[in-house]
Amino acid sequence: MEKDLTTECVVATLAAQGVVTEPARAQKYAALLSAVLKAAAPGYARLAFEEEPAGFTVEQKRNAP
Amino acid sequence: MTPEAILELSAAQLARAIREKRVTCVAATEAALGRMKAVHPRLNCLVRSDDELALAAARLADQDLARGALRGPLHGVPMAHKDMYYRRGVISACGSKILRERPAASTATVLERLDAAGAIQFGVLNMVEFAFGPTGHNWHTGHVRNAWDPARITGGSSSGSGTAVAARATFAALGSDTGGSIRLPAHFCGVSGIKPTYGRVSRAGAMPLSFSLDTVGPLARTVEDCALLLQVIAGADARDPTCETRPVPDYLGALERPIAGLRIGRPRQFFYDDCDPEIAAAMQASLETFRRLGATVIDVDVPDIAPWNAASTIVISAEAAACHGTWLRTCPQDYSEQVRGRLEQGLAVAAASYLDALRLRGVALREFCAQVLSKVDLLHAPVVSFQTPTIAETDLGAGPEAVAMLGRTTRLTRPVNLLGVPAVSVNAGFTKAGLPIGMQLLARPHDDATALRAGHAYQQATDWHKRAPAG
Repeated sequence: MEKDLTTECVVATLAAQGVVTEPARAQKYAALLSAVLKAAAPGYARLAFEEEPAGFTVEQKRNAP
Repeated sequence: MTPEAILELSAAQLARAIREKRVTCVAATEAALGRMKAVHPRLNCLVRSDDELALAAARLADQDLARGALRGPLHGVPMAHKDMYYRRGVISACGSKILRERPAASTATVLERLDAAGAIQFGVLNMVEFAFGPTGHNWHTGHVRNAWDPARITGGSSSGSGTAVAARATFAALGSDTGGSIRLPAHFCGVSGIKPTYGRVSRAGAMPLSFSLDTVGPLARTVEDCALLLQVIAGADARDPTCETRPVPDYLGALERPIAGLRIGRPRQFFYDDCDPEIAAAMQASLETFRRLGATVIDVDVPDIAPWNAASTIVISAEAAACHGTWLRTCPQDYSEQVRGRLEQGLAVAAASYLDALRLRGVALREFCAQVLSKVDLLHAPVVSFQTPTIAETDLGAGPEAVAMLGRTTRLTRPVNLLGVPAVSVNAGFTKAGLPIGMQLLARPHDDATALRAGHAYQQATDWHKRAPAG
């Protein structure tokens, strides 16, 4: 992720879905999600162009005894 | 048999005693109801007991048995379950305020299968609000307390299930596991549990939290009991399209096979980071037991799990927020502050991030099987890495400290849900303070039987699972 999520971005995103959030709450969400997305980034960076969610089911079947 | 003697039996032992007419279904149900009522004031584990219904069902079960009609392998075994399995016309509040008055439209497949196997449901058990929390706190129904020390957490979200099984107040209980909610209460309460392979057990009629990660499974006193219940509830279900159609293996039969020659992996990375020395010592001792039973213990390198944990958080957050979107808009005040916060943040997850997390699942499972489960049959690891905290210590509101604590609690369990592999949790000893320590045994997808077999062999060689809390 290039930049952290901002409080304003979270407030606006939730408002667009009809959920009103105070800035103090939104600030917590922004900090937490930014940290989670940073932690996920190395995994995401290795995803092949063709990778899709159904790959999980394929691997489940392929690796079953 | 006295009520006390009945309550000492495992579910499998009780089922056998009922079949052999050494115990009546009524006596077993009365014993469970009596113990539940005795321990509930101390543990806050019960939502509701259905005494008259359960006793009527028990009388019918005794009549059936008297005329030679055995309903199934759980004939007459009384159980209470997490309050998130729907029964038509009955309220399942799911630990929430929002669903306190909504009767269910249909019955959960797992309850139908337990009914058909002869089990008698006598009550429903407390749980974390909408199953969204790993400690056992519930600000609506009251925090559930640990049978080994009521000041301490039970783990969650199957909090009532874990502590009620530990207190011998139910012979088994259904839980659910989306990020550790079966294995954590099993660890903290010193009981056995299995998070089955994703898709092995139907989720139809079970409250959803995160449909990509939710699994349904039992908590019980022994691994044999877990195998017995899984045997009953597993299998294809047209009501759940994610449910696997492959035949259900003979889990109980698999328990009889020795584990000599089984390869058990000890992870070199991640699972022992900052691990409490007493927990690490219990893990080492349990590996020694497996060695004595003829298994080979092999140190294995595991892939970088931190991104998988983050991806798991993203999936749970986004899917839970989607399920709860309407209520977040119309009645946010009816959630506890903590659960509302966890749900709302999921509305800020970008669609592409969520899909990347799902795209990562297949890659993660491929890497885990290639690097770990191609070299060993099971991966052995602690369930948590720290000593059991008190309820007060973990009642942290919705601030950053709470977020950190929640992340720490599920750090070793969440990746297993992203991988979708089965994991059995077994009591592997106690701390000096007298609190249980659990281990988890991870297997290949749909190799639940091997994890159960190893857990059962361990319990045949140890007696941790036979210890019961005082009172």
